[in-house]
Amino acid sequence: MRRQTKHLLRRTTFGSVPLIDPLLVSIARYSSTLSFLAVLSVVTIAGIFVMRDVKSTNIEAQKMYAGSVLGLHRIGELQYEAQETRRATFYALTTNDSNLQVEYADQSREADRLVSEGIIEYLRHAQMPQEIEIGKRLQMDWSDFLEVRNEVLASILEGSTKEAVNLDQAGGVQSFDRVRQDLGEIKRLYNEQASQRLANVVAGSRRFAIRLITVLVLTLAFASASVWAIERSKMLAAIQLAELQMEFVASVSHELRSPLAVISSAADNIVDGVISRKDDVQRYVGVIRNQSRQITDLVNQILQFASIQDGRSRYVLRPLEVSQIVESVLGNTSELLQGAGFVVERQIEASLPGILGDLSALSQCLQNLIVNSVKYSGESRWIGIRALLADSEDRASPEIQIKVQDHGIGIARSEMPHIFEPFYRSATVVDAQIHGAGLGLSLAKNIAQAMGGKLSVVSEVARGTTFTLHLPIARRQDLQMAAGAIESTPTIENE
Amino acid sequence: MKFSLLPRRVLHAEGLTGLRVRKRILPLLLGSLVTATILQAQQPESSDATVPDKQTLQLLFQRIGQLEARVKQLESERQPSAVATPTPGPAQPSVPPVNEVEQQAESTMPERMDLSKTLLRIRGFGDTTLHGDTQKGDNTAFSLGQLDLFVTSDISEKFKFLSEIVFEGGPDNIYGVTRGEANTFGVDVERYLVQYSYNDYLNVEAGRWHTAIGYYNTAYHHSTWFQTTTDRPFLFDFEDRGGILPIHTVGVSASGLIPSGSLGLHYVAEVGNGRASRSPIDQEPVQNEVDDQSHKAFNVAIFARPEAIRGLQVGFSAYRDLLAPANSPRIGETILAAHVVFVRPQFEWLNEALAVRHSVSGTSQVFNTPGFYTQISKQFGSYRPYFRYQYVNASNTEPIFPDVRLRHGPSVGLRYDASESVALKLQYDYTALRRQAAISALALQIGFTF
Amino acid sequence: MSRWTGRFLILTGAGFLAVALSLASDPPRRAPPQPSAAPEQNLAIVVNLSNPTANLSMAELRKIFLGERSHWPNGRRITLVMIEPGRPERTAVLSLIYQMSENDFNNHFLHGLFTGEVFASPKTLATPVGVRKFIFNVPGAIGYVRATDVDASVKVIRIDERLPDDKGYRLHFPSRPSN
Repeated sequence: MRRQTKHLLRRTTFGSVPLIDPLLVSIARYSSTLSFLAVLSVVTIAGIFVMRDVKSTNIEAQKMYAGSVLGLHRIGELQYEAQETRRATFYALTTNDSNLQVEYADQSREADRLVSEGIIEYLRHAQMPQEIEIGKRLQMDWSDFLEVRNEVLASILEGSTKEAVNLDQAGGVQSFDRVRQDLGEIKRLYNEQASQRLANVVAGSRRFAIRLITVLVLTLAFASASVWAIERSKMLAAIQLAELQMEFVASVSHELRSPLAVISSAADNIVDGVISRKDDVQRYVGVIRNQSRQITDLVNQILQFASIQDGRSRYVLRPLEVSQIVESVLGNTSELLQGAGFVVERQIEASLPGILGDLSALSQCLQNLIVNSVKYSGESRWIGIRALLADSEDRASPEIQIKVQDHGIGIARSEMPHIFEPFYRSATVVDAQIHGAGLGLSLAKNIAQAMGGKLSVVSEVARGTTFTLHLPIARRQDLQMAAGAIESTPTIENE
Repeated sequence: MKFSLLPRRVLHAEGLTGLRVRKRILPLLLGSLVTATILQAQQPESSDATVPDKQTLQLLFQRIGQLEARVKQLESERQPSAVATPTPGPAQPSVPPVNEVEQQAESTMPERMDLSKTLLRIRGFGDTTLHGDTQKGDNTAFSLGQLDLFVTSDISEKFKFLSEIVFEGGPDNIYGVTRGEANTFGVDVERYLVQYSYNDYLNVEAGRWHTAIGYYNTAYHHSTWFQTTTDRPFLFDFEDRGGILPIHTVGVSASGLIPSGSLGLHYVAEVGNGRASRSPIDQEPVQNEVDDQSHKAFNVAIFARPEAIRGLQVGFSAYRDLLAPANSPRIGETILAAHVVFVRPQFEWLNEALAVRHSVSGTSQVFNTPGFYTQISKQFGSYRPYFRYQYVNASNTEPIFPDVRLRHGPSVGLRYDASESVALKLQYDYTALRRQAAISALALQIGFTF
Repeated sequence: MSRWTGRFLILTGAGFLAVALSLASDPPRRAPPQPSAAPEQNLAIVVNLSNPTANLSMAELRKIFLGERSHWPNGRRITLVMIEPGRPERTAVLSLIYQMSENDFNNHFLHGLFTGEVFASPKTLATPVGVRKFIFNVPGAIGYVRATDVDASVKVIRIDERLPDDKGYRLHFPSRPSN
């Protein structure tokens, strides 16, 4: 029935996903952290790519500006200053005043100085062979033009206007034309470089956009998957919890049904007069009483578990002796043990220090361990109870260890992480139809932790199991405080 | 708790979970889509759009070229206004024209200088004289002197043009009227030559110039403002004024330094048309266009300007020509001249002597006409008193200039430089003549340059 | 002896006497000035950097400045550069080299152009900077500036084998009045 329910549940979810569901369940515990780390990694990687693309695009744009745009600006200035060199020379022709002529000559020389410096600057930045070749040619042509210009200026200043005109016509015009052509060629070169760099920037931007979109899509997909995984894991956890709850209910129902059926049958028999003999009646009443006690114990367990979950447990801590606890436990379980034919071997070290605890709770804890040993003893009818003082793995001071050992069916290694979970019952136990609600070990562990200790287990399949209750030794001041404050009844709320 | 409710709760929880999933994923999806859209929109244009970018660049460059051409045009339009600014004296050359430029600045031809530009200078000289003398027939009168336009042009570093254009009146009081006779200018181009200066040792002139006979003829030309006295000495009077020397020559001349260290030797070598026979006197004696014979006149001169005595010049010249007067045998003309002058800004002493020898071809007739003058002056502030004595003695039967005969006498005068460009002169001349009454003359002259 | 010869001799003698008197009354040629250690009082004769001429005698310098020389030995035309009237440098040159007044100087060049002996009149610049720049631009130019106004754009030539800083340099002019 429970299996059908489980199967039905799984079919009604998003479809069973083998391998992934167990993985999701296992990672459900760390879903938020994992998701955060995953998204962070993706965003970081995406950011690195984006920054790299942006940087390369920026560098390309800077290259374009520094190389081509500034270069075009420089060539424009060179062209202007070259024209100025020639213009100032012409202006010197328009006047007879030597002072003005000298001024124009100065303007021409200043302009030619700027051009010469500009050409040197261009050659300094030139890297391609074509650029260097054009630059050197421009330098040579400019030098040729300046030679003619100097002669023209000298003739103008001397007053030989005709001579100046002839010189310019013979050499100045052609040499200046060559300079102009060289500058035009450089301009075309810069233009081509600018176009090429612009194309590179465009391509880079496109790549960047594609990458960014891809990364965003991937991030979205991953985020969606993460959200789906988180939600699915939560759902599975909820399903699992529901399954466990259903199992508990089913188990409780089954546990209650059996003794109730016996009680009902015995009562029916008594009422119906099927049995009339006094012995038989006493026997049947005894059965009714035992079954009632079983039901009572089960209900008490459930209630105790509920009180622990609700945080309403109250423990009365008192100084206790270990022997005291053991005697209490054995007293509570003597009938069970005798009835099942078990032999209990007791080994309690002498002069064990006292502890601070709740006698009934500790008794309940050990009682649950003993009951489990009885239930899962298999063919063995031996239980060992041992109390000793041992070194603690968790504390610097020694601790009291009370061991409950059996030679029963043992616990599989795969079951070990789950045996302390509430309502958990292994498939082996369920198949063996061993009764139980799955709360005993959970309760025992809670009680042990409430007393400041812990519960550990060592088991081997078909060899047996040993449960160890670790309890801290009560400190002197705690004992004195507990003894002096017994009236105030210090309590520990179950966490 | 009923069993049948459990699966439903789980189903409900599953449904809630699915809803939550959808609710959480959908915003993410939407946000990613929006982001992707924005990114796509910010992305530069696709490859198809690079073509318009190139075109845009091209258009920008074309526009830059247009603007450059416009600037050039505006500059050229502005240049004529700079030429129109008045400057004193010489004419100003105009701005060379700027060629039209195409839209693309790269293909524009460079500007060219204008061939028509020259550097012409004009300087003027003139004078006006009030003179009177004791010669019969002469009246006291105001006379306009020669209006002398001295024109030069620097053609090139080596070539230069020089001319003296003189407006002069004749005895008939008419200025600037062509007399209608051969070789006559109402307006006289007294000098008209182009000079070529190769170096200090070789200068060549071609055209019409003052013959290098003696000192005075090359030192003083047609401007009375330059000379100290009101008039030229007899010997160096212009041909059309009755001068006996070939003052002007049309031909070719070479001159220059002779390497001689501190002696400062110079040479002059000339060949030209010579002059017409001077008879009758009213004909143009300078043969500007037509030579009455193929024989050319030659003249060589040499003079020294020693560095040791600043201002001193000593020279000698020899002129040889063959004259062909009408209805007369040819006459060989030889003119030997020597000069010793001492010229400084504040003092001058000019001494020249020459002899004109005419030998009639086919005869043994030789006519020697000696002449000399000496002139001395000294500057005292703006005043410069001067004294001159001159002498020429031509034979009565001199075939070329029989009217000259003997003339001699002193001249004394005072020059006053009223300004840098205006000079006032007062001069008294006493001229003794052979077998005639001496002539006394007084002249007041204002000479100027502009 | 004829009457005219006698008159000629008398006049010649008078002329020589006048010349002697003139020479005596002319402003005495300035004795070579005492060497001055102050370079700002010296006038430097400067030419274009490409001009191979390194030294000129005073007489040669005078001939160049009077326009009696029109070309350098390398064939380049001589362009004389004067500073404008009123400047102390010009006054010094007129006094030391030309030994003329401003008027005489103008008349000399006008007459020289008129007779054709002077091929080109001097160029006139307003400032020493203008003089330097003109000479820098014209290979055949020669001019003058104060020794302290000389820079690397022009070349200083020796006069009688002396530079402006040397003892015995003859081209001095009065120092500037202190303000």
